[in-house]
Amino acid sequence: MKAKVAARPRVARRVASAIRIVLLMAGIAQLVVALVIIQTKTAEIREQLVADGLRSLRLAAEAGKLNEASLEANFGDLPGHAIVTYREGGELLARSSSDVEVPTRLDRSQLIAIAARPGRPIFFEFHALTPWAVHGGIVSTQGPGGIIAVGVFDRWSSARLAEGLGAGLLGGWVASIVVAGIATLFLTRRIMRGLEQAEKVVRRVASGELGTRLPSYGDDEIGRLADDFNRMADSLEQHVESLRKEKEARLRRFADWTHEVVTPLTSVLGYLESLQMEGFDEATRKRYVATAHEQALALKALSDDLATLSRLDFEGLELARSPVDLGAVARGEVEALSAAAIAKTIALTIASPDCPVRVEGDRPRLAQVVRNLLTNALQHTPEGGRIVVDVRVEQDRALLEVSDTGEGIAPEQLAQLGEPFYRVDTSRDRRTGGRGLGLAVTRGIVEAHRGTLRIRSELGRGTIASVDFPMLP
Amino acid sequence: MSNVLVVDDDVAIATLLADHLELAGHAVRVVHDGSQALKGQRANPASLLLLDVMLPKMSGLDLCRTIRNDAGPQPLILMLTARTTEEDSILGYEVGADDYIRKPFGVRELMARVQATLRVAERAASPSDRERRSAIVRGPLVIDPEARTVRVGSARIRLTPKEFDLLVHLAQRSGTAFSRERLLEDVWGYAHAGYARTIDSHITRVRKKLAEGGLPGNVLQAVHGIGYAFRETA
Repeated sequence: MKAKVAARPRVARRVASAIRIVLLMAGIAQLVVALVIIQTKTAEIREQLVADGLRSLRLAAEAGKLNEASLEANFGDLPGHAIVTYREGGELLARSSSDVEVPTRLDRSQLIAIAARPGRPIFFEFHALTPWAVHGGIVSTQGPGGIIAVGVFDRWSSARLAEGLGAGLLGGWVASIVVAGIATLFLTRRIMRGLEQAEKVVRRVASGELGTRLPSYGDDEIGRLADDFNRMADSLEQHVESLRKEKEARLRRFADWTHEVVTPLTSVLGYLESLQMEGFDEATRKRYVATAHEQALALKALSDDLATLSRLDFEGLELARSPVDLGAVARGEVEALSAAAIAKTIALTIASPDCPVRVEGDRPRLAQVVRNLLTNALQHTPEGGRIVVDVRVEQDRALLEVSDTGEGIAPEQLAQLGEPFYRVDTSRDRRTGGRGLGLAVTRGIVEAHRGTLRIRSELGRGTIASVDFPMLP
Repeated sequence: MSNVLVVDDDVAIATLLADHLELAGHAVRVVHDGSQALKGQRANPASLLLLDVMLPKMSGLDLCRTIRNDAGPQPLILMLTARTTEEDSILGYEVGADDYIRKPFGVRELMARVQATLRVAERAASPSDRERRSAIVRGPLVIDPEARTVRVGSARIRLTPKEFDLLVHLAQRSGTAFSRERLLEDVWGYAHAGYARTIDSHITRVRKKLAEGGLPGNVLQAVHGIGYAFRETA
């Protein structure tokens, strides 16, 4: 990735030459069309102009004002034009100027055409000695001196028009080719720059700057490619982010675990070390042995919980499933904890239906769930409080609820509840017991039974923990 | 005999520490959360605090910072930590702890550290050593070992006991380079492998406080490959 090979800008070059070819072809087509249009249009315009002149000339001829002398005197200096009169038989009678080539004889078809429509001119063009076509119009008339037709022929106007238009067109065409060339260059550079930018972005993403995105290119193929790339980068970024979070969580959990292990371990080691030292009386030594044992048991309980959790994590918790009466399980656990409740002057009661509430599950594990919920409630309910266990059937689910009159849990803490080692009292008050694993273990066991654990709470009023399982028919 | 306040929410550990401290002849009080500790310390100041980092109500770090911001005589503070990340907090965030010890610790090791800390403090406070009690004047920096005060010009610099002892130790032997281990030995009264960072963080804090007080230059200079030395700035 590092060794950047100077890539030839092949794509951009191909695009550029394609654009140039298309522009050139379009230019040529344009030129041809324009020339054709000019040819027809100039003829039309000229005919209109000439038609009016011819009408005046016809009247002048009829009035006898177009003899050879007057033609030359009146129209001789009209540049590029020649006024011409014809006599019987189509022969040239007189012309105003010899600058312009004129037909010296009208042919039969022309004579018939003008005779058929008196007063309406006909137009034609013929090729004289000049390189340009000479255009003219003739109209029939009846004048003294045997004039039968009068005509106007021009060279200058048509030639000029064609020349002017031709030059203009050629200039325009050249200009458009130049503009097209510049536009192509500009476009190519833009495309090149876009591609270069895209390449840079892609390299940056590839080298780990996952937050980098391609700019929007609009709704075309490149735009869609850019969008797809950005979407890919999005999902890559999300993926990496979730991996990072997972790793962070794992490290945090590991640190928490260390902390949880280190505390009882410090006690065990400290008390055992003290037992080897002088200066403590027999009663103190007995107390030390008891405390060391107690702390070692705490370590064992921690290790049990961790073992259960890790089995749950790997979905390897073995459940000996059989039909179990959830009511009976709950009654058993309430019975077992009643002494602890009385010692703390807490009223612990249970309400369960007379008929069994049957679920399929591992009886000791289900008992562990009830016990954990009850122990939690006992820990967080002050003396003189109340804990009610309620077992019932609700919408084909077996429901068990433990509600207490404890201190309650704030909403923002409720969300994190059940994560391993999370304790509402972030201070980790060891005197309220608990290692922060109880709820995580409970939730794991409940979910292994296709059940759900829900906790609702109100600060200062109490907490309701409920679990529900599918009922057995 | 010293007044020691033990602050740990783990009853078993707190009790054990209290037993050993009493056996060594100290007057011990035990509390289990941060706010009780603060109340206790303000009402009846102890000369040494054994302070767990993770405490209910108010963390050990917050408690340490709060006590360091209080006016009046400052206690020695020895923090108890269970995680290496907590050590970063103790040393890095200027909470002002004098030292820390990692859990699980040996009781003998802990007691040795406590006794060394107290002994050094007592020696620093004893009036016997006349030569060491005269004021040190280095430019605008004036250190009075008797009153345990530091001034830069007219500005009073507030140092914790260990920060003060470290500065005095180096200033009295201006120009001499000390290794971190040697400084631990001389100022903390022990040298345990793995606690050299305590020195670095104390040096950093003293430098920062002197600079904030307006002392130009850096009098606590690092000596490459050795440790630190006090050097008067020009």
